[in-house]
Amino acid sequence: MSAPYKKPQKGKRTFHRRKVCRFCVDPNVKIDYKNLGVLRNFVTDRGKMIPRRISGTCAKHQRSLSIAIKRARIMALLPYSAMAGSSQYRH
Amino acid sequence: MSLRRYELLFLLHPDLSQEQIAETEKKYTDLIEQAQGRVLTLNEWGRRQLAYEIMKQNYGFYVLLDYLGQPALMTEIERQMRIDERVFRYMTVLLEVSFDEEKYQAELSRREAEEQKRKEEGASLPEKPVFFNAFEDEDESAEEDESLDDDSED
Repeated sequence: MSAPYKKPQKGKRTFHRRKVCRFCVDPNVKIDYKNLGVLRNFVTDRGKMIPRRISGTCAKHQRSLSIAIKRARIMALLPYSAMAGSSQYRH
Repeated sequence: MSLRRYELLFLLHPDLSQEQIAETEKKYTDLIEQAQGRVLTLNEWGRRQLAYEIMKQNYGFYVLLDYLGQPALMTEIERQMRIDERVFRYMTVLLEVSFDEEKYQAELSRREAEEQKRKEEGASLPEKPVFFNAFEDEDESAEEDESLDDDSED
């Protein structure tokens, strides 16, 4: 599932996420900027977006996710950075 | 004349009175009605904590408005919101380019059926939570955590 993958710098872990995309398996889970319960799973405790290779999302859904997260941030539903925002987003 | 379906989420000042809020909402619903649009749903989320400070406020009153209208109507609504001092954030999303009444009714009834189900199951992802705490320190440590249950290429 990983396209041209450059070798990791530290050690030779050619690790790549084989896990399936969570949205592909369950079509009921909708990616929506209002759906914070879902969205928060793809954001770190610092508020950063989690890359696809870690979360295992497929490309198509990662793109939708990205847009949704950005929208949520605009509407102050998610912080841009946990430093700048409130502390309620810490795990 | 195709009606587009828009979803508008906007933030009102948290210290507004119930009256003022209702007034503001009415202002926009009236605008929609007058322009031959149609309000589908008006959903008040209420006072919520903001993820970051806006206009020196840490709380905001969220309102979600689902409506049908012409593009010109949408522009007008946004223009009004820009001027309105009570609204300090808004975001319009286009849901559907052409509105289909039947589909909408079907969606409504389906949503109700789902609501029943959700009361039991819970709406979040049906998987175990993945912990990303270690992620920030180094990339590799996150991978280490995961390889415990994952099949890695090694």
